[in-house]
Amino acid sequence: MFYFMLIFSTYKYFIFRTCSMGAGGLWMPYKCEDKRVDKWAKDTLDELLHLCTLEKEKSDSNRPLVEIVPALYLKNTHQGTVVDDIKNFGAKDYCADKGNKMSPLPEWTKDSRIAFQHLTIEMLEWQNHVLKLKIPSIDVMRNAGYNYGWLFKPPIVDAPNMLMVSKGVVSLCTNTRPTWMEGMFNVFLQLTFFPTRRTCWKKFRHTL
Amino acid sequence: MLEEIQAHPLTADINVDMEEGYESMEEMVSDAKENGCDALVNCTGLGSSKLCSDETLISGRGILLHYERDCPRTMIDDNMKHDAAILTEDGPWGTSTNPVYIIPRGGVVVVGGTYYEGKTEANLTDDERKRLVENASIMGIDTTAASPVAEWAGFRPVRKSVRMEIDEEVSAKSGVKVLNSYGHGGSGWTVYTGVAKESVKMLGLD
Repeated sequence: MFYFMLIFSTYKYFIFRTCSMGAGGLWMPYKCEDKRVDKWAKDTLDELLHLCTLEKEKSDSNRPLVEIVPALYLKNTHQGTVVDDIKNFGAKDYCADKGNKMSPLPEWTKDSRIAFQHLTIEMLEWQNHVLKLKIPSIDVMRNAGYNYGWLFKPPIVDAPNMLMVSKGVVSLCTNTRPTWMEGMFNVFLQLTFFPTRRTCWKKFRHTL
Repeated sequence: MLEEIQAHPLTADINVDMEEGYESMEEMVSDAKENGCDALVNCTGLGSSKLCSDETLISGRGILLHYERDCPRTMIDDNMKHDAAILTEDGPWGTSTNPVYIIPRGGVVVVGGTYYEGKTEANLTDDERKRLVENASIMGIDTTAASPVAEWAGFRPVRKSVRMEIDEEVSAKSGVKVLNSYGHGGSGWTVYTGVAKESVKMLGLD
């Protein structure tokens, strides 16, 4: 039988709370230089969109754990794809790293599920007549020097409540029979950033 | 007004007692071995700087205010019905270390923020609170009519590259397969499932 152990934020003198709880919960790779992040982010997007679907099927009136909310990332300058890049659009390495001049946009912007658009502020104004998003007026943004924006539809996790649910999953797993073992490893590992006590896994092990 | 801000109401429920935490990787591995574990995944975030003596892992301090999701807004046309997240690191509103953002999630709107590498101040200063209120105002929250309901300081585990690897030396010595997974910065919710799947793969369990 396979036993496993996960250790989370349990460094003895580490007084800080997990940052995952307070986090905005917006799906968007941020300040990540590591190339592996693209794959991890895509896999996580798969999961979050799946959870969004499940949330929509729920009949209760609670706020969803994950929801799709349009996001606007304001830019002063273009910093995006220009007309000359279009001929390269279908190339496999179209969105490569910063060293590749084919596109300055990050890899994640290519995922059609988030409906990424690189817009001028005027295009955004036009679109917002339809979208009706709660954003500052176009004049305010333009006068402040924001001439461009990334508009996309990422999932947003209700971080504290998702952690509560995760905590519930841990409790559930630690109180059930060993027959739960089969699928449990994935369940636990998906709580990567969830802090727990070592008593948690000890308790779990006692059920084996 | 600001004196009335409380920590998030779920904080006490989610954060767990750290008294039983480990002082070193050796202690952790030893405990795992003692309890018959085959594998150990170290996901201690910033705690790994001490546990693994990893000086390249530093904090990326972030601060937030929370407003009620349906708080009064300004600069918003009555027809604007749908929530949106708004972010910028460009001036004049934001910078790379003081990004400005508003993110509706759950029952609150999160207003940020900072990205201070190496800073470990656990509480918000008055100046920081004032700046976040200004950010909220810029992003369309009517701060004359709405007060923050919670505040937050958190510490992203920042590393030049993510450490996602089997610790071969410790694994061989202890007989417990040790996988280090930390340094994911501010992308926890963006990569958590992918990292979990990668962990399973690296441990040979896929």
